[in-house]
Amino acid sequence: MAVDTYPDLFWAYTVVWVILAVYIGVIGARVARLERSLRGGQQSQSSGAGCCDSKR
Amino acid sequence: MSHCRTVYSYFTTAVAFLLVLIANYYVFMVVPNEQVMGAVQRVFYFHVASALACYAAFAVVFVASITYLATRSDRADTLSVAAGEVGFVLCTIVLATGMIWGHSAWNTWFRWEEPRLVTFLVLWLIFLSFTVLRNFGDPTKTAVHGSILGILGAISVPIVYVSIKFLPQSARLHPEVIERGGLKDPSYWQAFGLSVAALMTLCALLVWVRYRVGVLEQRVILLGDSEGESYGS
Repeated sequence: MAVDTYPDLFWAYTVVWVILAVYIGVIGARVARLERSLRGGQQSQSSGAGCCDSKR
Repeated sequence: MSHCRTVYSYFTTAVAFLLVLIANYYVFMVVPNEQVMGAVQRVFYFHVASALACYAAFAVVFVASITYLATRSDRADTLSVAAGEVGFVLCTIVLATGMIWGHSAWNTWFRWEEPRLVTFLVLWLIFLSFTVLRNFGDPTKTAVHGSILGILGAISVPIVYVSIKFLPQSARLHPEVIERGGLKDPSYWQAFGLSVAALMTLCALLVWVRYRVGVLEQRVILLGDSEGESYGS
């Protein structure tokens, strides 16, 4: 096992990939959340416009 | 325009992924073990490449922050935030891999008497504050404060580089592989060049994606404002 033979090398590259994976995951979650709120905002705006048009 | 952007993002992602794979192949399969350090010397490739990529990101922060202070352009501010955040992530990788290498080479995680380690820790702390300020600070004030902090952080990069140059050779603990004519085997240079190319491409891709997130955030805020206005009227 690499972790037994070269522990420092193993942990150094594990740290690199874990940090990058966590950061990419955080960005991905943020994009998903923003897209959801953008879609929700657009929907409520279009339904709001429909309501105001019908009132006029 | 949007189609071009999608094609560009897929292309850059594919290039970054391929370069990372090839660089890993070279680092673990092609490069021979270094005579003094042994296998742990392979940490050097991604450690130095991450350092160069984070310095490039901080150079972007410097230019974007000055542009923001001069023009108050939202795009420059968004770019500064994106590059600062990605630079901080790469800076963390440099610090962590350096400490792991130090544990193997010096039998200690950190040496406070080594100026490059201490100045790099200060750089990491500056960009930690930058990231915290930009993500949790008062949105009306953080752009100006963040730009000033970003400029200060970017100015620290040359200080990190020259911090050990004024010390006598015998007192320099941090290895200077390239300056002292190391990497004699051509495969060392190939692995190093590929690692730098991989990390630089990954850095550019992450900054671009984070910039798009910033643009999306501004759009959501604008949408919220316009909704508020329409309800108000």
